[in-house]
Amino acid sequence: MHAPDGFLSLPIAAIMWILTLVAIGISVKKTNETFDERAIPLMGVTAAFIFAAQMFSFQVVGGTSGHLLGGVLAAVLLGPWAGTLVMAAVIAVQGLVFQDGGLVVMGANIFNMGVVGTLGGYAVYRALCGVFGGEQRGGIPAAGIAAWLSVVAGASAMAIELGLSGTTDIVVALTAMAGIHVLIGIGEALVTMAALTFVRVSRPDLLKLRDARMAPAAA
Amino acid sequence: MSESSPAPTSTSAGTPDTAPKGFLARYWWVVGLAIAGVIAILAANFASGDPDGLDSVSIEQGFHTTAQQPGFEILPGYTIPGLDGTVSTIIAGLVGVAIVFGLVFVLGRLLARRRKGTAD
Repeated sequence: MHAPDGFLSLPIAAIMWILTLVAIGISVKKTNETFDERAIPLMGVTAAFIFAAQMFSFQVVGGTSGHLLGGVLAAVLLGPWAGTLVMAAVIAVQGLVFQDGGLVVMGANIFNMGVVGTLGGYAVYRALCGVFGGEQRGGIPAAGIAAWLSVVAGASAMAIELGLSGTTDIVVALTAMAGIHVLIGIGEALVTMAALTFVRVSRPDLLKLRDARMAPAAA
Repeated sequence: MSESSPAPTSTSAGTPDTAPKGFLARYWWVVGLAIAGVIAILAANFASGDPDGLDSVSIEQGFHTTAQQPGFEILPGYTIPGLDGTVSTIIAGLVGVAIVFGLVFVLGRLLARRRKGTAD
């Protein structure tokens, strides 16, 4: 779902850059305040996994493929703030080094594929964990549903941006983008649940780092 | 059938489970990075070449023509320029895995809180 430059008008691309930069700014501050250094290797591995998994496009319906976005996965593993930074880093490298996604529209790409999942998807995840009787019991299905929803929501955001840019009709774009991503999101849910299960089985202690809060360091 | 697990370190009697034991636990991030590398290699071989959701919609609705060419190219489309075939995508993918891991690791180092009372 990496938009190339030209898909969005300059005003819409600028607005999306502003929204994304605000999210990144808050994430830098929050990560600096709360992120446990023991989670740094997990942060790097999560980013590497999401980058590699995004390369792995899977067939959805005739002639169309989909791939992982990874925002909910990153946020569940690392928290929404470090998760946002991971997604921004992955999408920035894809655009700058691999010419996958434009630079003018990078703000929109980071928002649609990253922030929607790491902030919105994570909020849904926490709410669902409450409904399912806690993170330990309901975390995996909660993450699956949040992951699916984040793909549909991200695709809908993309469609709205396309519509507001005058690139295409907003209703037609919304119908088509949401329609196909309802299917692509199933892949997102499966990969997210599998990856979380792998971490849970192999290193459950890593999942506790997300909520580790340290005593403020002496100034 | 041979035994499936190579003698796990079963010293769990009174030890807290927070301190990981064994190779897989200790070098978990190396294993994780290797998994990412394997996925990139598999992607180079087996990923679908069809347009993704957005590209498909852009072709259907005819606005794919508004896409602009990038101003510069480094490893365009997950390939090494001048190198053909799957091996080009494999190398580009592994380079990407390394760049992303390195970048985020450094970012984490710069931002994360030091644990008090830990020497190094």
